[in-house]
Amino acid sequence: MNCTEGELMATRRSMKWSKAAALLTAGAFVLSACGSSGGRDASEEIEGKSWDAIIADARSEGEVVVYNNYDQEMVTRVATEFNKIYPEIKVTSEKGNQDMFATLDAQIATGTDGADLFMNTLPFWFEKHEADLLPAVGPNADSVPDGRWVIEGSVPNLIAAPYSVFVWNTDAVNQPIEKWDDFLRPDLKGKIAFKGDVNVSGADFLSFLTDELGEGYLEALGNQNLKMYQSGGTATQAVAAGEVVATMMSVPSLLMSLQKSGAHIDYRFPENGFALEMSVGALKAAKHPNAALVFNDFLLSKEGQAAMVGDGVGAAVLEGIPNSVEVASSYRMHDSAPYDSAELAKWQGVADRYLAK
Amino acid sequence: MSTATLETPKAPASPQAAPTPGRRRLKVDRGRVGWMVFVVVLGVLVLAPIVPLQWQALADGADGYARLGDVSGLGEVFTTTLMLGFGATALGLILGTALALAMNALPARWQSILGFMPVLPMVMPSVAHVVGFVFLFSPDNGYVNTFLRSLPFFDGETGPVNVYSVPWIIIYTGTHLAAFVYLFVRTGLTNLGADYGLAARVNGAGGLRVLLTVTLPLLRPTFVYAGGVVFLLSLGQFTGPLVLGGRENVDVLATKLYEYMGDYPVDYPLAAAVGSPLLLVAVVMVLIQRRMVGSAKRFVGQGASSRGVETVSKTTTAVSATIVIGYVLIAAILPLLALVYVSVSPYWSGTIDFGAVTLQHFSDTLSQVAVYNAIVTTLVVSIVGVVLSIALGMVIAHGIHHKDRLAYPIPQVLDFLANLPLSVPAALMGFGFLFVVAQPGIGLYGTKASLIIAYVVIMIPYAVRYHLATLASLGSQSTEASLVAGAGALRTFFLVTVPLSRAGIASSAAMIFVLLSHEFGVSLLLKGPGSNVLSVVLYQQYSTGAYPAVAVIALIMTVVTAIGLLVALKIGGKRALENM
Repeated sequence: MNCTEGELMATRRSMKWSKAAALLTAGAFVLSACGSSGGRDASEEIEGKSWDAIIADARSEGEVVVYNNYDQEMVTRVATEFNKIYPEIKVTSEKGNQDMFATLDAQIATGTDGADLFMNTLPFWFEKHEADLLPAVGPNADSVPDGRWVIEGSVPNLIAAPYSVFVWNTDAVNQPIEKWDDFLRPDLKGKIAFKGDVNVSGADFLSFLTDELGEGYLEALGNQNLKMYQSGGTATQAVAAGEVVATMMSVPSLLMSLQKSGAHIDYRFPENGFALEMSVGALKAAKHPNAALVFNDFLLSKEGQAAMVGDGVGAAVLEGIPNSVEVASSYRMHDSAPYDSAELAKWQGVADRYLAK
Repeated sequence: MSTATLETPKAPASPQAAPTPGRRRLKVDRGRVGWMVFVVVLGVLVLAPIVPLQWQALADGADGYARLGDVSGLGEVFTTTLMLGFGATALGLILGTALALAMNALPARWQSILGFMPVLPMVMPSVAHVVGFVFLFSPDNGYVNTFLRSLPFFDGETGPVNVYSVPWIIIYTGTHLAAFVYLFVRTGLTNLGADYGLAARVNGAGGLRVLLTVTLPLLRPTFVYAGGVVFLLSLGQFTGPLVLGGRENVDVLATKLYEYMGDYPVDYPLAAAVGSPLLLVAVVMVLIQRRMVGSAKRFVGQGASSRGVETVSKTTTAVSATIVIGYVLIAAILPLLALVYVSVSPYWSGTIDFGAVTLQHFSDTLSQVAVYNAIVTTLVVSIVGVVLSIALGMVIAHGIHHKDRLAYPIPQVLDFLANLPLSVPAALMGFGFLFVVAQPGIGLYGTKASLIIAYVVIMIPYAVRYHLATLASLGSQSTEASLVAGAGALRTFFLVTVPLSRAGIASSAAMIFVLLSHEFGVSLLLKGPGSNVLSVVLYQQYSTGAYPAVAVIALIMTVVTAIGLLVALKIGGKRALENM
């Protein structure tokens, strides 16, 4: 094969590039493997430590990683207020859904880096991992009312928010939706958004509808040719867009945000509805356990609670918080305890039978 | 007369005498041992995320499989999956081949302008691409549907297109995957050259006859590879059915798996059992694919030495350009424009109102630390993943291509292992890797390294297939000449094969970078602080219904991908640009 000088130079260049790429890749690979450590249990470190010492060590740690399934506007508000008091502690929010559970389990099992705190609306994970959680040792823990702990002394409720909200597009729906039976109106047939995924909270919501309105209601609702969406958030966006005209589940903060943006939607909270409570727990496997406890305590302070409530997206666990809404006592709070695999399969069957038409 | 016999002089004894048979066997064995070690390492890499999952299904007396009968509607899910697989493959093959043939028929100047454009659907992230289609073709308020209903040919309050229906999910998937087919076929056509077609024309064959009796048969290996790849991609489709199918309760196996993975505790045995049909179909497909291709050496083209000789008629140019531009418009430009418009809208609505345009979503999104970190992480893991997968792919392709020189069954095992990762849906692969990296003692959970390892494994099929197609098109003359001239295998590889494959390497680097920067299923399960990529951030925004933020992140991802694509093509040189 005759090689021209140009081809020979190109060959040498390609070998140089290959070697450089190999060296860079090996370096990047070694560096990227860093970040994992052996088993970790911060409970011994925390035990008996004064709160001032915890705060001092939290500032040294410099970061707190919060896994959550919350509305990120709320989390950003909370982080901003937190940093006014603790500017040295960076708040990193990792949002996810139920995929976070398996990730957290792996973190706890291997002691590798991950969440310091876990905030979510499904208490059963905390109940399963009671032994893997740090106690809430800050001064504000004493403010939590009785009955508002998922795990006494360790996992408090933070805020309750309605999950059932009657939302409609004001351009397409002339008559407001004010009660559950309004969703059975002929003018809404084929235009109602519903959450299609029967996970733990979804199953409990179906259970609520059945208990409150009877299985006949689910069948009648199914006859309305529901359109399934991934979440209350996407359903609400679809109503605002006019893709559907109504839904019965939503996220209050998203509703307010859409209305502020000029979306033609309106909403009502039903008299008897379904609500979710948001809880938080600090992990023993946390890389930044002191920062986790300080952030945990901040969430139970008046400043933290006010940041969570914002313009009125939910009911604070503490009293006297500005803009805190009242979740009526007639509301059913989500309880995840009954929903094992068999129970979930049962409610999936109910959904398939009545709603998926 | 006496004759004298010349005696053959004895060869002088020399320390450099030919090696004894025992030493020669040692040299051969060392090479074989090296390949066997490589096969074992590759096997561990590829099988690690697959075998533990299947073991879960077989555990406890195959409890996972036993409970398959309890899953309601599984038969319909399987049927829908097969419909999607076959339908999208057929449409993708037809559309992609038509695109490649149309591009090939264009004059060189047009090709230099339009050559890259059919790849645009791949440049957009899959979640964003399908959301763009929703904005366009939502039956009630999609922009295209609204426009069509304004025409006298259509009436009603909804449609005419329902992007959430099964036929349109198939059409969407096929349209999206046509870009993959276009890449494969275009490379095949370029390497094939025009010699055979010209020879047929000189002998009196018309254009159609040349196409049907010369060009298409010579492209058979390409069609088989492309068809196999696209079929497996269609079967394991996740993003499209997830976004489009939910509304009308259309489920495929991948979305069904995702449902199980969203449960807690995760029912691994049942999820693994539900995913088993995909594995089985994929293994069968791999075997059929190998049988149909046969000996790839029968289809070696002569190269592109005579491109651009013939003149192209104006009619051919017009028709070809219409096909290409029409596809690009529907498959890429319109969804991109829809995303751009939604990114500057206060919220998604079916109406177009330029008076309400705002850049607030850009400033909100770009100010998020999580987004910035995700951009950096995406670039790091994608680039490292590209380099490692190409290097690994080239070695594997080399072993498969030169199977005559390797001991049985090394090439066959290499071929099988190289195709296996394609058979596993990305979401299922993600959980398999989570199993592995979360094991005590491995300690890679939540690190970029775990993402990189997973990325390399899932990209092996693409890297290998691309290099195999390149090696098949190059033929064996150059490498055999190098070996005859005394160069060893390694020297031949680096000084002959690699330079000649430069365009193919750059093309595969570009495609693998695009695929990795958009990778979602595996990334979702392996994410952790410091190892969160843009596709997961985009999905997190989508799952909260924040469509304008989805649109902003999608545009960021498109820009990142486009930059990476251009860099890869620049390294590959002018031929790589021509091939794209």
